Amino acid sequence: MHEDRGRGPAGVPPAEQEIHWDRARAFARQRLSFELPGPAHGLLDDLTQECLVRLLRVVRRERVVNVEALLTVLARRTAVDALRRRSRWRALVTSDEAAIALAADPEARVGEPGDPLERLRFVVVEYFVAHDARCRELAVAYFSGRDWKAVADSSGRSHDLIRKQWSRCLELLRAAARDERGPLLEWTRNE
Amino acid sequence: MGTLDTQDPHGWTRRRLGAWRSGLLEAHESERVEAHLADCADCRALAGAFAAEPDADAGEHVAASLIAEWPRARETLRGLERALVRRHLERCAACRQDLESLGHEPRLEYVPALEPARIGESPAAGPAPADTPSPLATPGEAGMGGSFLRPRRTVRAEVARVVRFEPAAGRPAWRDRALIAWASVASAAAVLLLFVDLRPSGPVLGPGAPIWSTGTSASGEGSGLSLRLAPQPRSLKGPAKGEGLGRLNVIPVMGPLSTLALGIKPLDVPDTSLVTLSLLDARGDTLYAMRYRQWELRPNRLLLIDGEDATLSPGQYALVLASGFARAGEAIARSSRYRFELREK
Repeated sequence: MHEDRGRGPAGVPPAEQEIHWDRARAFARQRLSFELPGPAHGLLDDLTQECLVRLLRVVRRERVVNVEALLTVLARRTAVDALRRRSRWRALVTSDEAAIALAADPEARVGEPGDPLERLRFVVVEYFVAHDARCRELAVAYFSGRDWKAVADSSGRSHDLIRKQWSRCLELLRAAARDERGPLLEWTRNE
Repeated sequence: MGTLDTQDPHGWTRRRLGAWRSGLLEAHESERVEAHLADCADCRALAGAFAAEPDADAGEHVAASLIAEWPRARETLRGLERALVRRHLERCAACRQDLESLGHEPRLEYVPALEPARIGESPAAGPAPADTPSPLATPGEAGMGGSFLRPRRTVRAEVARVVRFEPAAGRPAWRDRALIAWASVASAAAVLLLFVDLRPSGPVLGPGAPIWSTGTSASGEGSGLSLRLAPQPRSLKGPAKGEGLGRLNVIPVMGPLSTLALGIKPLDVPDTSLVTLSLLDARGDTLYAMRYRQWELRPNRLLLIDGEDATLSPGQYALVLASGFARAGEAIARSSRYRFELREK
């Protein structure tokens, strides 16, 4: 949260070289308490942690000129994601009483940590890290916001070819996850 | 279509919203989801919650939201996901650092009951022998005697938790410079060593004696301290353990100090340049200062802050190095600053 080295070249704002963890934590918490509605304040501790992890990841990727401005943005995004997360879990685990009654372990589904979408995407990418590098590339490209047409254009292959390859990738993943229990990979089960 | 799916199209659709949004469904499944969403406002509203900005990590790291709730995640992650998270932590320094920065152990335990079903339900539910490849391991991993389905034997867990910045592949040049700057701060913290001053009081002559040393304040806190360059101290205590990113420079102490040994990165100036080194307190007031020639601060030398009386109290300090030289008729100034905190244990 402060700069510790001399100024950079003229006209170039100096990057922050040192981030005081406790100050960043306090600032993130303050911003989150501002962004979150009252009933969600019970999540403040976890969301502050999440905000700091996101800060670390941004710091690794790019130059940071103003940590407080960055934290403000991250806190807002974290707060919005946290509110969406509730709906996401609600969709995945409380869809129907009959479905829950038939589920293998309904109690374990209550209070799942993290975001289901992020967790699902991590599982997909990480699975392909060990099994098929091309599948991993496709997954990362799609998850970073590109549609299949854009992926096909950038790789110089046809849209159909990309879709077929992705379909084969999904077969691999479904086969590996066929014994899985839990809401994240429930979609892999055959109808 | 199964009976349950026929009876409950809402549930069938909702359970697939994450996969649908992530492009993981086959074409006919996606069509079915979309057809249902077109007809069902409730499910459409829930589908809206799965819309999100593209994630910068795109699934390449353990979810930040999961790391933030790591104590619960350790107990509830199961199956394939648990195995994948464990394997990822073994090879991803960034995710380990994320966990360490929050004060967590950067690993995920092997718990037979939570492992993937094909392993957890086998008679040998515990870790497989090292030479038995896992069904999900790659040939390369099996060949190395490792599998992400069981914990590798590693000494990492026994290493003191110190947050480090590790280089990432493909960084631009400015990133390298920033990392070097960080590394210098981290190395200063790592070499910040406490040791008991056994030397007799009074001025010390010979190697390491100060060239110039004076206190800017003759009384009050820090009175009697001096700065000097010295060879490596004789007895050392281990480097301060970092507990988080912002605590790299925190040195746990028990009461006031008589001597501090600091490893600092020399300024980038010619060897003959005169460097002024100052010790500042939390208010920015100069407590002590000294000058030395650049050539005197060699890698095997440390900066000692010492005095007859134990007067360096817990608190925040900064060490400032400043120098200047002329090149091609142009005056060039160099300076750097190390902050550290002596914190009562």
